[in-house]
Amino acid sequence: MGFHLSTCPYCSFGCRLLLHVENGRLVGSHPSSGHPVGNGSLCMRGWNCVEAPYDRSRLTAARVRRRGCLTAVSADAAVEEIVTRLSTLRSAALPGGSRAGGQVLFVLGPAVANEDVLAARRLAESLGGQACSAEIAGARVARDALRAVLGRGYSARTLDVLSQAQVIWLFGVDVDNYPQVASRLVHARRRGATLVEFDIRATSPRPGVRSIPIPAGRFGVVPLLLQQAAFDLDVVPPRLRNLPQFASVAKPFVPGRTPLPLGHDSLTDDLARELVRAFVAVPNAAIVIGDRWLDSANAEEHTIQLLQAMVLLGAEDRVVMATGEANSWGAMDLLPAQGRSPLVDLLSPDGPDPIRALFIVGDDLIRRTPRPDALANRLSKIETVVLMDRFETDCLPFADVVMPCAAFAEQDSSVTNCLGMVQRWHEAVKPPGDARTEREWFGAIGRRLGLTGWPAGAAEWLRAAASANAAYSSRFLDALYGDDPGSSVLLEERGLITFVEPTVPSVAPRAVGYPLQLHFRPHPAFWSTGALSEREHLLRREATESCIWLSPGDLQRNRLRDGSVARVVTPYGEVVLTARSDPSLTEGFSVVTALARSCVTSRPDAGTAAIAADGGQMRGETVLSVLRDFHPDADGRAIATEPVPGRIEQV
Amino acid sequence: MEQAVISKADVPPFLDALGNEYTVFAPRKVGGGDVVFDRWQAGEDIVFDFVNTLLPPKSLFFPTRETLFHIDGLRRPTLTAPPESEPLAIFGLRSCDATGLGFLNRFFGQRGFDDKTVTSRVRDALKMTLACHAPGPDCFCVCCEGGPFLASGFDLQFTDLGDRLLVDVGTPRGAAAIEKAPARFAEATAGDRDTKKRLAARVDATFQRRSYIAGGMKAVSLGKIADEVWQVWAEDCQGCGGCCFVCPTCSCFTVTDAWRGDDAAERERSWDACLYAGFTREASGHNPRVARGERLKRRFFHKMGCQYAELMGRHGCVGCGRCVGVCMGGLDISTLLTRIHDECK
Repeated sequence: MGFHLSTCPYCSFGCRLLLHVENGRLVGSHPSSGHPVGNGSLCMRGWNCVEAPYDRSRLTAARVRRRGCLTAVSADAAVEEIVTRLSTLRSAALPGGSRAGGQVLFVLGPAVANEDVLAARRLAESLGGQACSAEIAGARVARDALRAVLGRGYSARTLDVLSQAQVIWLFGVDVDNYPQVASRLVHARRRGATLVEFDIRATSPRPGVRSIPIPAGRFGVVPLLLQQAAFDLDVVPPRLRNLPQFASVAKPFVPGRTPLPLGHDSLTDDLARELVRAFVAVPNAAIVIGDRWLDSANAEEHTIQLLQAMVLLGAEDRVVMATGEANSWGAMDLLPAQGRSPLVDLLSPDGPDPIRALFIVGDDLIRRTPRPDALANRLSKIETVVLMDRFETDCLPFADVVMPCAAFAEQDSSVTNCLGMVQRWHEAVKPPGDARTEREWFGAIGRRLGLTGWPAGAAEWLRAAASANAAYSSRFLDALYGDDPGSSVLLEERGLITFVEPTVPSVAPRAVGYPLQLHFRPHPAFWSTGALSEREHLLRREATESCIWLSPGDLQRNRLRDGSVARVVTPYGEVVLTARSDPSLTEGFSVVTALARSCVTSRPDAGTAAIAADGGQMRGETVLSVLRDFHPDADGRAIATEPVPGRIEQV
Repeated sequence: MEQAVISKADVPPFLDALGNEYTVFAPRKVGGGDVVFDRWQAGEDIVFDFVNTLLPPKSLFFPTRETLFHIDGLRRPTLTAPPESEPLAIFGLRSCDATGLGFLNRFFGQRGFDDKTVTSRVRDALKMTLACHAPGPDCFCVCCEGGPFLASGFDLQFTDLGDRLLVDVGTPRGAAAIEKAPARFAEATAGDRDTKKRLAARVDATFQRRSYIAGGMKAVSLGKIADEVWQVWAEDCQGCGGCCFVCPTCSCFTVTDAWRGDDAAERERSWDACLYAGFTREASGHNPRVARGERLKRRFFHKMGCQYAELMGRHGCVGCGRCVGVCMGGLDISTLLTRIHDECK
């Protein structure tokens, strides 16, 4: 029996938790009091996070593909296989075999700890290749915008900015995914704070909450209206006026200008001014930007403009980015800046320097990408694919070598949350079988290749972080890896505000003949079943229904009853789904929950057929990915958060 | 001896002496400053200065995950129960948790079916409580007949008198425990008894939190709270299940079969939470409590409904206050009973 402090690996806020170990097995996780994020509580994922390491799909043995089949081998044999393949590549790249050109790529997922990110980067650079983050939207959009406007990677440094705020604006926030944010909002509302939701649908009326529906594709005008209101009300802090490019920002908003063609139904100029007036009237107003905003079309541009609006309103230090996973932010901190090329394009065999060896580290790229089929096609053409993960993933069929990795509770490492706080994972149990940390695998490969610089301890690895990012200065590392197992460190960053000239977004044409907005999301059952049971397997067996949730009015208008079958038609295809009633929905807005591989395709009944073909597997994200293949803004978006126009027809 | 005293320095040797007969658990401070029940190690210092443990001791009797039996051979399966564990001796139980343990024992054993995997452990355990005279800001046992001092439901009740502890002997098992190390104990003096009385008399006034139990029971039992109200309240519930996990009286569990290789399996029981949608989902897929408001209502009905109080001998809250600290939506028992009192006249 024993108790070990650790950090929850299930979202980018990282609550501290206490892992309970009995007979060498994790049996429980409990909230640790006194932590600035968790504050003595955990969400459902945190309470149940000890289940995942024992999932049936856990990888425990190294494997090498021989005669088309993945065969279990010793860890040494797996390393040897990779070394042989990399040596061949290096010889082929340059006569001296000193580097492998740009042919080796390491793609790192958000569950990879800081120390493992650094080890991957070191191996990649030693081989002349590159390491990049698997993030394609959400956290990447948020971070790029923060860097562009504030010159630093983080805004708010504590969730207390929400606990203390009297006015909170929410932009496309799905609070179900970030319960600690939701909790702060609940308590803020009870204290009398005013919440304003800017989102694609109006929520049901609640005291203290003002809902401003923003039609699909029109998020971009919101920050411009807010900036315009800031200038109209003359609330822009004077200290900003001497900053570079301020004049170019102010230019579209000077008094006497021709009004911008922002054309917004629900957020008028007057309303924007009223909201801004209330925002600046209190000293501690804050905002939360969520995934629905960050994943929407042109999110890069309008997130920059939203941050700029916050600068103009003096609230740039009170922006909470509710996005990302366990170490999304740490991985982006410690990896070189990367372009916006979608992964599929990065893996194109037709480029000048095609990828010939790919390390997929701690992420299921096929589930993450908006174009799974295209990515699968690319993966099948790469000579060497190395899969380093904790679980069997959809990438497994393409792997030539599989290296099982340690889960969060099986390693001494650090992760960085979205508030810029570096925290510890502690080894509570030993990893099963051949599983080990990524850095141990990389060290074994590096040493075998004759490369130097592979320290054994996590602290030594993190000391190298300062060379990758100055905010990770070594002066705090002793505290992080010192005697106090609960220690955490807040990164110190100073930035310089830079203004970016706004551009007025074009008005998207309205779809004719599609009265409904279809909002796609994974099935809500995903995180709402029995506690310490084998959740995912239960869900795969039990929850296979994909359905469309409609308001009672829409249900009646389309002559449907709860449970009857409807044909859902979109400009991109159609599918037959079960119709369900949801009184909380506003008319004209529907939610499509989906579990199977296909939902909306060009083939009628493809969804139903695909559910059967997929063995009833729960693949909410994949469904959305398929949908996005047909969506004009699909590239670079993690989830189809942009509503799709649709209508219902009788079956 | 009905009452005795023991110096704080003599408690570790006393626990050592119990180690021959029991597996001894005591409060231990862990990283982050929390206190948990953990196996007592000889020579270890005892933690006295804590409000309460992070979790109630129910996990020692009703583990978070437990194998009920092993299944070997799928064609001709043989079922084997795991070996019985040694009896437990728990030092430092707070009064509320000892009361909760009694409730749990009744749930598992006194309603026509005796689940010995839990009840035998409770029955055989030596329960040594530590009465409270400095309740924390979330505590409200004084409203729930859960403490801060107990008249029964313990084998030995310790009261902190400074450098020594007054010991009330509650059962023959408690008296027998003292006999394991009689030299460590002395007869309590009239002064010791007076000090305890003064502490007990003073402590009630130090509670910062109150709870409207009687009004809550009435409102819940008589259906005075409209479904729509439950629904609105439930909008603040984050569905984490934490309130169930930290509650000394909650007993939600689920049973699953886990494969152990190709030809063996284990039937496991693990904690569940009635606030999870999957808890009441039936095999057909039908879920009688699909909305969160229905589940919240059900939880409070289970805790405060008179029908359950009649069945279980008391209502289902002992006032430990853990749900106050753990609930992300401010829907703990104390707060919600206050809202019922304020909003559901």
